[in-house]
Amino acid sequence: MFIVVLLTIFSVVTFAAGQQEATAEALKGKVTMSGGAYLMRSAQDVWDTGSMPAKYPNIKFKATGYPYLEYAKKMKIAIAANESDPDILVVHSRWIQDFLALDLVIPITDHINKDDQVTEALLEVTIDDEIYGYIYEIAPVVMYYRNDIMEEMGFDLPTTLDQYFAVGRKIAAAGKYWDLIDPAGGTHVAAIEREFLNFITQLGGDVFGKDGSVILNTAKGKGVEAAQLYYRLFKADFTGHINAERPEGFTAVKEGKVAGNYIGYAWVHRMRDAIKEGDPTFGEWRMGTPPSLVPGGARSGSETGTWVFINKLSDNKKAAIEVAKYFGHSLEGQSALANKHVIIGGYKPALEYLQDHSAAWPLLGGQGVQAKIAEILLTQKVPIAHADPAMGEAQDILRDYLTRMLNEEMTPKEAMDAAASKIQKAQELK
Amino acid sequence: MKGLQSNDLIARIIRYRIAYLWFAPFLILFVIFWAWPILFSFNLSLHKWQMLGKPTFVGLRNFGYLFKDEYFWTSFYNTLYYFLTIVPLRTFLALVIAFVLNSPQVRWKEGFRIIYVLPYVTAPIYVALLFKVLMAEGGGWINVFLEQAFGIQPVPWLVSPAWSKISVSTVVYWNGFGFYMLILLGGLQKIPKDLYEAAAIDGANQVRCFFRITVPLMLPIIAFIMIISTIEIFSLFEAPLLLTEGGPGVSSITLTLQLWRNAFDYFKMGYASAYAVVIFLAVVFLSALQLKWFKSK
Repeated sequence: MFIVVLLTIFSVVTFAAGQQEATAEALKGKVTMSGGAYLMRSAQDVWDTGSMPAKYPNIKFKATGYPYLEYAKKMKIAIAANESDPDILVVHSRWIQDFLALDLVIPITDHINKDDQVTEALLEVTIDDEIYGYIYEIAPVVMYYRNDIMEEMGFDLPTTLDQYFAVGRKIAAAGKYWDLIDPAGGTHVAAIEREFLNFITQLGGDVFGKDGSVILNTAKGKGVEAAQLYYRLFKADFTGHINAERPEGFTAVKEGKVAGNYIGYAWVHRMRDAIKEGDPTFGEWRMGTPPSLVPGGARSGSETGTWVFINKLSDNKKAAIEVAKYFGHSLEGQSALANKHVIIGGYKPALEYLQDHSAAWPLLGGQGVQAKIAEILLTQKVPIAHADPAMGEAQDILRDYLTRMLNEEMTPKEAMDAAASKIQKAQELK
Repeated sequence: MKGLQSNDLIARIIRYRIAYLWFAPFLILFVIFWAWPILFSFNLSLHKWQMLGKPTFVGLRNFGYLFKDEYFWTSFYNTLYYFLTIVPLRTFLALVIAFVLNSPQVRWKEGFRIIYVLPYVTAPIYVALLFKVLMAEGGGWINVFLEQAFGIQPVPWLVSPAWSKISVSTVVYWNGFGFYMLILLGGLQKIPKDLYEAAAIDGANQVRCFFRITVPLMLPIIAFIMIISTIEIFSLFEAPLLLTEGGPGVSSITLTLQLWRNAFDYFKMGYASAYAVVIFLAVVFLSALQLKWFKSK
């Protein structure tokens, strides 16, 4: 009897192992992934140095990156030409609804545990209960600050908007900046329309409603409120009118003129490129949670993220799903992207892991940057700006009207009314 | 009659078939890569299409929106601004420099020609990137020089609506100057020298010679230069894209850059094609106007 039981157990285990081997062997062939240059370089590195090549020896993975504003059109041109390449598309929120509306990607509902993904971000790629993408990255806004200046002046990091302005006024009195806003429109991370979108989502508003209507200048959209706040911030004595990403921004940082910056977390990449580690003029910078903009509101917002989709035309969908899952829905993939490349995604087990296993950043005094961002994502229910197929054009329109507003050619209300009208026309032409 | 004419044409093609065979490759390529895309674009301007799926016919709706679009008029105004600030001055100065370089008194002519042509043979993309560094507000060489030499505060060449168009104009001017100077120099060398000798005998100085002999005889070449400059400015793309991305806001955007954005950033192919049609018609109209004016002279 004992021998029969032992043999039965042995058969079951061997069968299960055999099935796994069969699955790993069955998944083979070329799997290509395409997206923004930095994200793809990072993905290739994580794949090459992780466990996947050994686990799936027959999958040949290649990630190809393009400049941020180029990759979406390259993907569309490839799909328009009926190409099965790339199998996996990593797309920013500016374009995701466009890809979803054009029915270019397949649902992955059966290959995801939605409770393991950050809800707000997952909802962006959920249509009629079908989920179409894994979250690759979420980019919340954070508060960078000079810890040494704060300690010297006896301030705590503000948690409310009033506290933020109060601290800012004292920082200004000491001859320093508490934020940087470029009146010419900004660039990439410091683009004013992206900063504005962070604001509007933190206030609980949005540019587009979930039904696709433009709500920017309505009470629900809170665009006017966000624009007034952004204008107030720009006009404050403590805001430097410098581009935070250009050399002049980092010159001001190294001259000790900047005590804080309320900006997307990706500014840390610019710091890493612009500042030599150990530079004594840089000061003791840290990353903190931003203040809430309304009582009880979220203490961060996000105007963008990226999601991993499977190309409908892919001729290797099974393998592509496994690869996409690795990058968007696995502890190893997501934590490696975070620790090696500061790409923080929405896979909750990885975010929890990062709280205690974050790479130390010497540039930020050994702070675990990834842990901080993970904490914000897990605790703040970070709202994400809803992207419409016209979002790309909407962002350019917002940048234009916000620039005019900051240069006092229009009031915040006029700017938002004009932008809303133009965005509506853009939708009609799409 | 019509049947006779087509018979004549066929007979002619058969008779000169070798010549037509030599001509055929160019004609085929011309049709595929020039004529067909233009006709396709004209047709697409009457449709709504996102590059995927089938285009939807919308008639003249795209044009209706275009002429009410603030960004269209801004880009049209900017393009006209570039035309008026670059083309007349560049043509005139190129003619003056060519005239000087054609003078027997000037030494080291070949060297000067190379210096003037060098910016032209440098790809516009590299020129734009170079000037992006030179014109940077903080640490750009131009501002550093102005501050150290004259105590002038940094000028926001590329990040101010007041300066952005001036900066783009300067770069385009500098990049193309040598090409037009070279064409004009070639034309000047065809003017018979004895005309100048005769004028000198009659007491005419260099300036009078320039305006009374050189300019009138160079009118056909100047007309040619004005027309290709018109095409150049109306298809201006790299400089505004790389220097200012058409900004700040839309202060330096051109018609072609706006067309490109609508086509490849927003995927509004039909609307972008409407832009293309308008640009085409504007170039044809301006070129015809210029030809008529020059012919009257």
